[in-house]
Amino acid sequence: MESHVPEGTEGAEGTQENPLVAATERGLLSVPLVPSVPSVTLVPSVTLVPSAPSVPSAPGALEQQLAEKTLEADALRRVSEAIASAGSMDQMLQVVAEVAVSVTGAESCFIYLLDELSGDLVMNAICGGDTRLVKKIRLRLGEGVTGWVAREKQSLWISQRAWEDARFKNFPELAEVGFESFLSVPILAKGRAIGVINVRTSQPLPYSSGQVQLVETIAGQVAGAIELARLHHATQMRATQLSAISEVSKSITSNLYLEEILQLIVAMTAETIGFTICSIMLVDREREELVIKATSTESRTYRDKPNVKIAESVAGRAVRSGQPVIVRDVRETREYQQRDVALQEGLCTLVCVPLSYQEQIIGVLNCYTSRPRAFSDEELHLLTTLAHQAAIAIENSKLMVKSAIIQEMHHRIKNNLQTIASLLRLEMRASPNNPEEVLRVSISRIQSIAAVHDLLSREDLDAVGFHKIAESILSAAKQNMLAPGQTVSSNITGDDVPLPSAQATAMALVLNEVVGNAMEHGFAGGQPGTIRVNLTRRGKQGIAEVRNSGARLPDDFDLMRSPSLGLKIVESLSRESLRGAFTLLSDGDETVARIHFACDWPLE
Amino acid sequence: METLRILIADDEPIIRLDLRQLLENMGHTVVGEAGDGATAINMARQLRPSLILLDVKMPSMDGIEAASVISRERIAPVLILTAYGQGDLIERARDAGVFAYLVKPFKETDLLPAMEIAMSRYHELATLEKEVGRLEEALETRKLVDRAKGILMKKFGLSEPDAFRRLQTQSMKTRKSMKELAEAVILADEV
Repeated sequence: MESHVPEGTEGAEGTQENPLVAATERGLLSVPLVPSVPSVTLVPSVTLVPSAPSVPSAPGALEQQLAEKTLEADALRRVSEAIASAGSMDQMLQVVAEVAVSVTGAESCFIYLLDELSGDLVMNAICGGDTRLVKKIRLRLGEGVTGWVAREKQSLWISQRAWEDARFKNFPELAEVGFESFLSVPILAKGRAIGVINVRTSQPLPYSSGQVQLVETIAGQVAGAIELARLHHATQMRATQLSAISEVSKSITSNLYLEEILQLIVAMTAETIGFTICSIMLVDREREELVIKATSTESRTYRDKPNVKIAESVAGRAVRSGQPVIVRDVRETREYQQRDVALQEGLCTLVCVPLSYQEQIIGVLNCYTSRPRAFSDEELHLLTTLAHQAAIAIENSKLMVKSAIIQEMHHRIKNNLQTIASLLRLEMRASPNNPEEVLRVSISRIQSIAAVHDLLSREDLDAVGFHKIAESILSAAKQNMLAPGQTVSSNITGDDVPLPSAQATAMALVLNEVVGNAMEHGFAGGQPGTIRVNLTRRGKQGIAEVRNSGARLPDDFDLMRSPSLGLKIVESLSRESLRGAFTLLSDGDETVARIHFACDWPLE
Repeated sequence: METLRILIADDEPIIRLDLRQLLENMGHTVVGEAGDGATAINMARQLRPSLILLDVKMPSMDGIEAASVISRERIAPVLILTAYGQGDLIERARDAGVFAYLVKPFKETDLLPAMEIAMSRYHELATLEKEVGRLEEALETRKLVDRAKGILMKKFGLSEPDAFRRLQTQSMKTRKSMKELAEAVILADEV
């Protein structure tokens, strides 16, 4: 047994981890390591220049050479044909594998291609073997004979007892044990190994330099074809990515709602790059958390997962650093908080791209794959662009909402000013000879409208509680209308209901009149008393009562015939704005103002 | 200004109360009050008021939509009250056949001129429409007479002035309008 190792490789070999040892540790090897020097013929591809073919001496040799050349020419023709006509890369490689088998007289051929993203060699075509293994077998660069050839970018052939070679790695599925000979040729493109063509036999086979050269030539043709296909693929990818971006941009300027835009962005991202789950999470500054805003998955497990803390999560790291974060396998890192979700959903690699707007990070675009995957700069660039679009869409809609609120407020203010102008005019006409009274009554009405605005601005701009309105009307009335030394006590009891702004204003005006009347007529002359406000809610109807202990109503009192402007206002507001009714009656010693009103806010 | 029968629609009862008093003090009659657009249309159809005041922002149907129905049905001129003063709204109002508008909060002194404008524009339009109708009728008669003349000229070998004179004489004799006569000639010819 002898081995031919080119100069310079020996030293390098010695320092490297023996793939066999590593494989044994992983329990992958079924054959014990044979430390003896294996039978190896190793020739770097550069030295494979026709090994000075000896001048044929006999016509028989000439004939044989002619037959060989004919075979070679035929093989190359078949390969070129396959390259030109094959519908897909897989088809083309299949033909190449068949040609390789026939020109070498081997039993089987495997073609591996480099997966650019993972950096692994992946089995892409098989001739004379189990075709179900295609795309299933993956090799690390440097792993096994094939990996070694790809890493070293040189051909290697072993004529016999291939399993004894230190570089050999056994795949039980491939049943390589028992194969004596092995020819492995790198597919080189622009000085890079982008794949390997392997042939093997179960009998020892001394490969001729002509055969090696022929397989190398085929490998060269294949390399050109693959490069072309890759370029084509890259162009197509770019086109898909551009159309995704343009689609998303279009949606931002359309009339779609924010939810729809974000949904489109996650769906597009998932589809364009092929993610299992894609989602957009937004920063909740108060809670220091990230909240899911849109996701491409229907899975409840993922959708219902709890919010993640910005301080201690992978997505949080993207937010904190403002840089994309990639985790190769979320199931293997403690930083990823929801390991159970990842296991259940089969999530592996996670890319988190921050959503930034005007140098502020407002959220993150999370993308999961189901298998370990690396990302090219171009893909990260695409993700960043999509994340940026999402950020713009979010900020854009915030501005839209703000401007709608401003419009709405503007309208409310103008309408209220009209109401105030009308109230002033009405009061002026009602008491033409008492300007002081006009002003006093009007000011208290304006204050009750202002009280609602005040409450609205402190709460959520949509609705105000009944109790709060009653409270502020009562306290304003006591401040403005009590005679010196007079004591009037008050309390508010019963249910509380929220009233939307228009109803709240009407209720405030009504209570203002009713309480004002009680002060003015009930407790005239500075006598003490009590005002009790109570609310009862019965389904969609509310009944507010204002009771005062002061002077009784005149016996012949008729609300409809009362000339009082205040009561007229109360009556019409109760009927229209509050969609109910107003009654004024005596109950024992008390005078009761009863306001029925619709309470159906919020509308479902 | 004549005494008007006015319908007012605004969802704010206080503003309506004020408007009613303002209008009644001017000597007009408020024939109805509505709190939303749909009610305003129904009341307009029933009460046939001479002027309608509509607020823009009302529940169920806004003032402009109501205005376009009312003006399509030629019920009465519409005066719009609005808290908005934006251009697109005014354009919408114009397209809906609104004759005048007032921006809230309006002054008592603005109301009368706006009402006058609405009334006079509406009458102008009505007059113009009547005029258009009259002219269309005249044109129609003229066409028929021309055709009748042609028939007479062909049948009796008359010159154009003679044919016309013949029609005219017959019209006077039978006390029928030129249009009716021309129609009779055409009918006779077709039969």
